[in-house]
Amino acid sequence: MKPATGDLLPLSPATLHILLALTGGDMHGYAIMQDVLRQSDGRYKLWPGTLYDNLQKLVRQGLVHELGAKPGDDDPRRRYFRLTALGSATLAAEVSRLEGVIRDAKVQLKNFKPRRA
Amino acid sequence: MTRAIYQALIRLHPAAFRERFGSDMLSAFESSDHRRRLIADAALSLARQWFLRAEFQNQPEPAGKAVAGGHMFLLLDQQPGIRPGHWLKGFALSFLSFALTSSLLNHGGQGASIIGSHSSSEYGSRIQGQSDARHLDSEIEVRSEELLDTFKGRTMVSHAYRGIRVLSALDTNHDLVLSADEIANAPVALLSLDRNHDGILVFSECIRPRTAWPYVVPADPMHTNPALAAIDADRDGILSAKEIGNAPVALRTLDKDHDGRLIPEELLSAGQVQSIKEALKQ
Repeated sequence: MKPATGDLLPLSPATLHILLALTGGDMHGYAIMQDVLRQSDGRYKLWPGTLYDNLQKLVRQGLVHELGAKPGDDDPRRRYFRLTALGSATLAAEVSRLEGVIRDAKVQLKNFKPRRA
Repeated sequence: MTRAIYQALIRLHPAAFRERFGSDMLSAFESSDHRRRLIADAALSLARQWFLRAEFQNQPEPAGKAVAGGHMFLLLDQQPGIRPGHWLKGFALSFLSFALTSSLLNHGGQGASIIGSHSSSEYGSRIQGQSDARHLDSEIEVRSEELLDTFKGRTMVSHAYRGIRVLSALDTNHDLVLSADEIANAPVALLSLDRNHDGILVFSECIRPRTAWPYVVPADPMHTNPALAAIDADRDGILSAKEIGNAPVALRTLDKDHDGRLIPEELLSAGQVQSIKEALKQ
C-alpha cells in the first residue's frame, strides 16, 4: 500500500532534489545528477550510488515511475524516470512545509538578540 | 583501469539492484569527470545495499527494462531470499572493496572523500600527485583564468565539450585542455567516434543531438566551432579519412599563443566563450 503524502515528510535533501529535478520532465539518472548540481549551484553532489538508492526507494513508494530506456536515445543503457502525481503532491507538501519553516525562522531571527557570554 | 574497478564494484551489488541500475551507473561513470569519487561512491553503495536495503533484494523488476545488451553483469547470488550468510558475504565484500578502493586512491596521493554530501569545495581543486606532471594547476589557472577556475565555469565548458563529441573525444583525460599529446593522438581519438567503421565521421558522429540536455550544441557547429572548422578542411560537413589523419596539424593552427596546448577559449567559438563568461558574471 502506497504511503500518504504526509507520512513521507520531511523529505531528505537527496529526495527533495530528485523530485525537483523530475518536475522538469522525464530524465535519466545522469541528467538528474546534473540538474541537482545546477539547482544547488554545485554545492550538492549526488553521486550514482546515492541517486539510484533513492530512486529505488521512490519507485517503491510510488513517487517516481520508472520508464526504462527510450527509443532513439544515444545511450540505450539509460533508464528514464518520471514524477508521479503522488510525487508531485509530496513535493508540493514539502515546499509548503519549508515555507512555514522559513516564515518562522524569519520571525524568530528578527526577534533574536544574542547574549553576551 | 578505473572503469574495470567500477564495473567490478557494480558486479558485487545485490542482483536486483545490479540488474536494474548497473548499466545506468556505468553509463553515468563513463560520462563523469569524477571517476575516483564515483569508485568510492560505488564502494559505499555496495555496503548500503547489502546491509541496509535487504527489503529490496527480492523485489521484481519493474516494467521498462533496458533495451540493448541484455544482462551486462554476472549473477553473484543464486538463491532468492536473504539469508544470514548473505550478511557476512556482504560485509566481507564491502570491506575488501572499500580497502582496495582506498588503497588505490591513496596510491595516487589522495584519500577517498565523503560522497553525496554538501560540499563547498571548488570543482577546480585537483587530485595531487598525478603521474602526468604536464597537467599543472598553476599553468591552467594562468592560461584559462575566467573559464576554468570555478566549478560553474568548468561545468559549463564540460557541457559545451560534451555537446560536440569531437571535443570530448579529443580531451581523453577530461581536464578540458588539449595537451600536446592529445593533439598528436587526435586521429585515434576521432576514429573512436566512427560508429559504423567506414573511416569517416558524419555529423551525427561528431555532434550530439540538440535535445541532449544538459549538453550544449551550438548552431551549425561544423562551421562555427573552431576545432571542427579547422579539421574539416574542405568544409563539406564530413570529416574524411584524410582530414582525420591531418587533424593534429589542423588543431595546431588554433594554438594562438603557441604553447602547444589548446584551452577552451581556443576550442570553442567566440559566441560560446562569451556566453559562458556572461553566465559566470551573474
